[in-house]
Amino acid sequence: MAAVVSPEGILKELSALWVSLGKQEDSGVLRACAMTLIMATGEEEDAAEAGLTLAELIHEHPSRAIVLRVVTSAEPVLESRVLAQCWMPFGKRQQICCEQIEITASPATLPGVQRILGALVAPDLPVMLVCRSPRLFGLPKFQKLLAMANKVVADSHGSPEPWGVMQRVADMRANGRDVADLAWTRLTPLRQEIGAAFDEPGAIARLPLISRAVIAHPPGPMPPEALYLTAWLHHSLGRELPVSFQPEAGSDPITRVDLIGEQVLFSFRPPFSRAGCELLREELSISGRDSVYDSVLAGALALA
Amino acid sequence: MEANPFLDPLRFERRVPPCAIVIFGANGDLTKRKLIPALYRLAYERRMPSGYVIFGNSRTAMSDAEYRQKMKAAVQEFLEDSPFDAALWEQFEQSLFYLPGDIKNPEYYSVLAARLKEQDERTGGNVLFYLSTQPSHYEPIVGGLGQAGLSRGAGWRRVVIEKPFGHDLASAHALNQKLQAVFPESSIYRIDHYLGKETVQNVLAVRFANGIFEPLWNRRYINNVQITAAESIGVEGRGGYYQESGALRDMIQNHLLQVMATIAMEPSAVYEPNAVRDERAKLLRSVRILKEEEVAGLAVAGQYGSGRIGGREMPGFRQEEGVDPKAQTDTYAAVTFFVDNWRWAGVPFYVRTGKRMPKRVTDIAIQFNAAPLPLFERDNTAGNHHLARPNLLIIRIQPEEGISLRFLSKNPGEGMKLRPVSMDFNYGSSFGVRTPTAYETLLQDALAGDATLYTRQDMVEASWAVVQPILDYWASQRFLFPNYEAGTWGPKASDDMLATRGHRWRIP
Repeated sequence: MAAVVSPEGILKELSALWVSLGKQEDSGVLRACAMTLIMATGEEEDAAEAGLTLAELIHEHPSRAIVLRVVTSAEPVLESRVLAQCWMPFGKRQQICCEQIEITASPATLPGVQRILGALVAPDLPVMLVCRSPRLFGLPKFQKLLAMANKVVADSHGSPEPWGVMQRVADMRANGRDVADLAWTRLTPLRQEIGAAFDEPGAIARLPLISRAVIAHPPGPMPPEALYLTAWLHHSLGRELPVSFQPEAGSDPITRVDLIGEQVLFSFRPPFSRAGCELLREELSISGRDSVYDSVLAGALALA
Repeated sequence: MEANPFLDPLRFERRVPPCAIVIFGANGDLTKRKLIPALYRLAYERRMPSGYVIFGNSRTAMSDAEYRQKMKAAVQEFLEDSPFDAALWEQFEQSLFYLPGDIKNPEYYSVLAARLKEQDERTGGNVLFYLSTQPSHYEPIVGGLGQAGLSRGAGWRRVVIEKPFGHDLASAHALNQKLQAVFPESSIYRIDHYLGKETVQNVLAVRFANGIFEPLWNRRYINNVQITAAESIGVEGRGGYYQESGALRDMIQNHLLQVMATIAMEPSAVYEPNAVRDERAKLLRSVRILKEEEVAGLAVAGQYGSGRIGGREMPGFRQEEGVDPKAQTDTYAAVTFFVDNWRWAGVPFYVRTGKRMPKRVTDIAIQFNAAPLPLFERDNTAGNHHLARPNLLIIRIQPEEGISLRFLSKNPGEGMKLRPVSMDFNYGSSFGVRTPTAYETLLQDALAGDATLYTRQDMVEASWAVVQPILDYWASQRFLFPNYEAGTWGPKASDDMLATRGHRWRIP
């Protein structure tokens, strides 16, 4: 049986929390908020990890953070609690705190959650919704929640049907929505590495000689990153480049890219792997049109 | 050359190419307090290129190891808002070398050239020369670099020079000519660290990224602008240097006129170095040059005497170490500037700076015109009470960076009693991350070849042209100094200057 969760109740709890924080600290605390950041997690995800990711993110993107955990339960579930995430910036004497609300719901109570969130978002500030669960991203009852957000961040990597997630991202973007796919974000360090190599005038001169590419990824189904990367190479070079895919052990979704031609070989590996919070940090820093991604997404779907 | 097709500026971090950095004056205060901590911090944030090498020069004999030890201590002491990472320092110091020598000796530059050549493979031949020396050394260093052929090489060559860029218009012009005889203007980076402050950069964002301010940003709605840069400290052992420069030269000619240009400039068509600098230069050229007979009414010089601050007796300027007991130096300067263009005609820009003032604060206050009728005043025929509380937009540059808007609001309760309230934006509450120091920003820009926040020859000469008549007039006067007590907001004459237009300094 679901408990009664009212937005007014949560807001009152938040007020009381701030009063108590103010009393605990001699110099008071600085309440920071530049957006509402909703982190929706499915049961398959670790809610504690989501909390840790948020704790990392709020340093750079102070927000009213809402962790929405959607559990599969025959019974209707609806619970909430509030807490504060505080940190002391190095060399400062005042703590900075962000408020965090945790809501646990089941599919049956999701329509009600949308109304609760509607009352809880920080007024006049952007709403960002992170939904890395492909199941939730595709759940019909979840669509109204997605519609609340100014930006939605999904992740096609790890989905049994990554092309389906990518297609949904493309459809939403075609309707003017700002939707990102972390599978694309994951490629930034590798793409930057490739870009840096062609800063050299000598390398640029050899670009026309490149006639094919090899993209290596860990054994198993082809990750969406491979398609994104292929589409990006086509987009950047302005021509179709024959690409072959090779299995290769490694922890990154793409382990190596070779650009090959007559007497030419450029080989790249990802310079480093990034944690979830670093991927989100990149996406939260970008708002508005990303024309490179639009072209690459269309190209990747055409390849799929 | 064909453009790199793989770039994605929206997502890629700005890359700094491999390079060598040569710091002249490497044993000086600025290097210890600002430059090396900034370079270390850039390395900490992985913003330094994969291949870099730093050479420090000064006359003091020292080994690489001794220099590294000294710089390590400096970083530990002066690193701002950031922890010291010993492991990172060990890596960083591997790229730090000390090359002592006399900058007036041509042979020194041959040695430097050879050391730089050794590093070409690592640095691609790119070199940034940083002149952190006293200004009298600029000419011999730049001349030495030119004669040794170091202004050109396999990669780019850039030179960064610190203020003061001359001590008057003529010397600034002469210095520019000397610099340009060796380096093209596009390779000369004149650093004004005020322009590197996040909050000064934010002025452009506030003005030109929002729709609400710019329509009001003109003579129809703005009554006056006040720019204050107050320091609570005195000359702190720099008395000898300071008595030759003074507040007008030290602060207003460079920093505060650049801040004023940022506040008053037109939007550039694009956000690119020369487009932005063109607009700043245009604004500086529009500042009215005072006639000799106008200076007394529009500029005030001050010098602090002794006084008590926080229960401590503070010496006057003339009692400071190294200062002439009859010095005529201005430790306080306030000037009323006018910008003769359509946007600003008739709007006074009050600019003041001083030492030994009640607190350290730099801010800009935009004072708007009052409402046309005092509708809510009990007696609206006299007093015009609310006129004493005009709307103010305050941009705080330091120490608490932020923006406030002051407006009138109804007091809760019966009647229509008004009182001013403040709507505050505080950097800390919206951006939890550490703000880079001005030197981090500016060094990274110079290494990346972005001169947007650096001043150009025409900007420097235009700002000297603005202050020159004031300097000339003051040099012809004998002031009755001291004329303000340590710990106060400056001489009464400064208040009187504003009072002639019915204005008064706000207390920041």
